[in-house]
Amino acid sequence: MHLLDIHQLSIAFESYDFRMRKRTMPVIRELSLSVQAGEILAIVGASGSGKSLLAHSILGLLPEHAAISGKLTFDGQPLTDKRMRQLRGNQIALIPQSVQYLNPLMRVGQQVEEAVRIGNPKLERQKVFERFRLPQAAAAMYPYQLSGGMARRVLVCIAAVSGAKLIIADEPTPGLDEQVAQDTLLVFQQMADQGTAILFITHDSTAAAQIADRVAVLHSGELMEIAPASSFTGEGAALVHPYTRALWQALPQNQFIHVKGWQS
Amino acid sequence: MKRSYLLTIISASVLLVVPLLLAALLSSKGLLSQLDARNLSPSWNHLFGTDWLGRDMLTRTMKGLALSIGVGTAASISSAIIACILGLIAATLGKTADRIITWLIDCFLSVPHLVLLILIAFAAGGGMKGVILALALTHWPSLARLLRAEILALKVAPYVIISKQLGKSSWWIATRHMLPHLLPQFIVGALLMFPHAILHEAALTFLGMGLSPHQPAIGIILSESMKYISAGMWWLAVFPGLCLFIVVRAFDMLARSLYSIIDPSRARQ
Repeated sequence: MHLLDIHQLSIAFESYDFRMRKRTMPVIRELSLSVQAGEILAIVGASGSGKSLLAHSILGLLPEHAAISGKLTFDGQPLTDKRMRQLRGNQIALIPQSVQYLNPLMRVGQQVEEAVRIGNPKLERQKVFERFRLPQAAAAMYPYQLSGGMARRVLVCIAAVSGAKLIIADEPTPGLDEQVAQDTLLVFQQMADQGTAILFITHDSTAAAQIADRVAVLHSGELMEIAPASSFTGEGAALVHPYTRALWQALPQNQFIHVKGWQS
Repeated sequence: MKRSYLLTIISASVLLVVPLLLAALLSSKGLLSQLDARNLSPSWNHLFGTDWLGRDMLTRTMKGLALSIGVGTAASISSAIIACILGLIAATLGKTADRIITWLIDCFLSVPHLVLLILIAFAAGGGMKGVILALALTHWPSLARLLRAEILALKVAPYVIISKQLGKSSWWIATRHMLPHLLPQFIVGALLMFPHAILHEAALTFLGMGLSPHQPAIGIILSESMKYISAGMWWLAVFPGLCLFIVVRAFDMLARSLYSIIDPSRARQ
């Protein structure tokens, strides 16, 4: 059974122009996706393709003027705002994109310990810090004292200790050095092996291809294709959609091909 | 860094305690008129000199300062409580409440402070009661506005929104996420109210709307000294004025250093 099922999700932002006419700006159009337990689904796309909006709509974080239609199902039941709150973060966890999601006046260690659901918070925190190569002394620091990479690792730690069934990782790797980024991906893989579903939102299609089971490609709010990660090899011959292939081939380590007309 | 702030806090506190101690220790004999010791300039017997009735100015000044600090404390604590309640209501009880309270704040801030003080003190019948009432009722608006803005900003902070969405209770969010931000602001805001309250108390009394003339208040001392300053009795105005200035400045420094220490984003280990 699918853990998270997104059916025909559309998001549009409503605004009024200077003549007070209502305008709707569609940002995600009829998107359907599903993630199974133990699966890593990567969502790749260029900036502004609606990746983060997708994550936020699952968590119910969209601003009020967003018009949302479609159906979200979690664990067989519709995912409403109310149910989201009842799940209390021990079912769904978010690795946010920005450090703004840390309380600037709470020590980082405490923030990680707050997220622990099972076991001794302090021990779990120490373990996870070790796993992500964070010095134990960092626990006593405030977020502004951390470097960008450390803060990101703290965000990953918080999701890792939560024991959630579904982790939504919104660009977890940029700003991390190669080694830590690889470690993070490895931890994702381990968690997936233990049955956690991971929605891995990234613009790094190489990383996506490396750990994901399937890769969904998003462009201007539309789902181009969902390809098995194994298709992202060589020259991308197995990729069906031209945009996906263009995205893959544009990478320096592939062919660095510039295709006109797809990305403005 | 932290050490110098601590030093400032300690020395400022000492400066504030000294007049209180002196006021308690000096006998009130100095307040009685001694006609054989009139108009004496400062000497070892009378450090601040004596006035035209032979009253010891040191005793009068210290008792006056103690009174000022007392009145200031009472007024700023009540003002801080009003600010806290109104700020909270404005930020949390919806748009109508917010509009009413913002309007009230604007109202209070748009009238010249001193005029408002005089009006309230006069309406309340003057005296100690009138002064405290006037001070308490007019010092809250800026702190209330600050707290309201702080809470509104916190309500839309990403980490607050996400913890709400992930099912943390409102109480948890209020105590763990919001209070640590608001408490330093509140404490410092309340402390910074002291110097204002004390100066306004002196101003009210100086204008004759406040405490009665037989009470040794700084405002009264200063207003009386005006009559004698042209006769060359400078000590009647200089020493009490200087003491008032020192007390006000001490409160100000105390609050600012405290802010630097309790605000974690500025503190350095």
